[in-house]
Amino acid sequence: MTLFAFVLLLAMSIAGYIWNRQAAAALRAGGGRLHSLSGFHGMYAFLCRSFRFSC
Amino acid sequence: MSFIPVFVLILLWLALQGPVITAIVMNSLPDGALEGLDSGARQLIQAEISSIAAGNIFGTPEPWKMEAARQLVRLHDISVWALLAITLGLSGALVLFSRRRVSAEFRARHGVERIVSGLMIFCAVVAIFVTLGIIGSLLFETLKFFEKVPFTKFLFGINWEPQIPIREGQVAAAGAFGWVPVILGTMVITVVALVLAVPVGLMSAIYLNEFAPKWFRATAKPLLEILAGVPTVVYGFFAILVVAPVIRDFGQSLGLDVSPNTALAAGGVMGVMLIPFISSFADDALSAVPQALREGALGLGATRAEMMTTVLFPAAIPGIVGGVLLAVSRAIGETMIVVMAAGLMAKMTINPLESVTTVTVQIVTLLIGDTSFDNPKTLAAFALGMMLFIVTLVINVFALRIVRKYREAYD
Repeated sequence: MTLFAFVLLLAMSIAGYIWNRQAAAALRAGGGRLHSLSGFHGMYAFLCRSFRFSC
Repeated sequence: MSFIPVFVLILLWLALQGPVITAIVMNSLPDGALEGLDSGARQLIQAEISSIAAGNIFGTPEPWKMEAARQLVRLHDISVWALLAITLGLSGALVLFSRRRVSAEFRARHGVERIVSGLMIFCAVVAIFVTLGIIGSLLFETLKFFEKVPFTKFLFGINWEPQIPIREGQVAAAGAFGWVPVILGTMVITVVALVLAVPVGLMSAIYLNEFAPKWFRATAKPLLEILAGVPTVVYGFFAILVVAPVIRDFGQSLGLDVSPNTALAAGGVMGVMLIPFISSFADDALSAVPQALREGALGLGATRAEMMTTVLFPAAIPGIVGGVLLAVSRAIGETMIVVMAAGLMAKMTINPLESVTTVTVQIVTLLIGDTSFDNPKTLAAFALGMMLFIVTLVINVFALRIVRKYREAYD
């Protein structure tokens, strides 16, 4: 059952990755000039959730 | 947003939930249930309640224990569901929060790099702390040993008979904890192994690197490296079944007094085991020397032998010493071959035709069978481990100084 907590965290992190990446890609497609590639926006959401003390 | 990372929160929760729930259950036991009991008896009751909660019921437990077990299960379930709810809630909130941060100006790459850098620092620190923890635990038990056996008797004693009684009425040795014969046996076997492995390993590396045709190198090098993958127990069988009898028969044919298990057999087979380590390291070090240095030396009129001794070796010495160091560490720490082929008796001898024992073998024999962590017999294993660690450290520091002194640096 406790393993499910880790699975849940992983699932939410993956969801955050996909969502942020898509949002950044949409900004770029709309003509915006992003500081970071959309993959980094996704990765930030993924890592921030698990390991950052402040996001 | 979140000041405790969710991953860390889950780990903390899992680490703390057991002790907290147990404390709650033990505090809610009926009055008088734990009265007059010492800590050992309380732990037994706690273990019994945990066992009942896990479904292992022996005999007919008292009703209050059954009730405590039910409470334990209930609290555990609540804790798990609370953890899942918190994980879901916090993660969900963070998904929404990080989504709001996506903008053209947001420097996501810098954030990712900072997190990954932090993770790498964490991994490095974990490795260091685990090593410190191992040393700490070794030191703690070693100090307990030296409370029972004087340090000077251990360090300068020349008798090693640690099999003292653990229980009353047990027939055993009177006890002597002088480690000199044990480290002497280790050194004898290590020297025998290195006398065989270093020249053969270096020669094979030089041949493969400088003289061998390509097809031979392509075949011989992988075959040599297969030796490194052979389990040490197989070398042990080889030592005890083939090498030891051959040495004994040959020695007896010369009229020498040879033990059935000799340091020569164990050390010799260990040397064969070490050849690929030294050969591989030396080969890599020689290959890394720039080709221009070879050609320059040959162009100035040096023979190949002069080129090797005056140019190639000084340039490759750090790699070669690294390989030899690794081999020394392997030889000192090797256990299985020595258990099978050298023997268990500690003797003050440097004769390789006699049976000797090593530090690692003694550690094994002290920690099998009856053990008691308040008895010098068991604690002696930790003292031996500590001394082995110190000896290896001193050898490494000494070798590093040699490397620095003779190293030739090239661009």
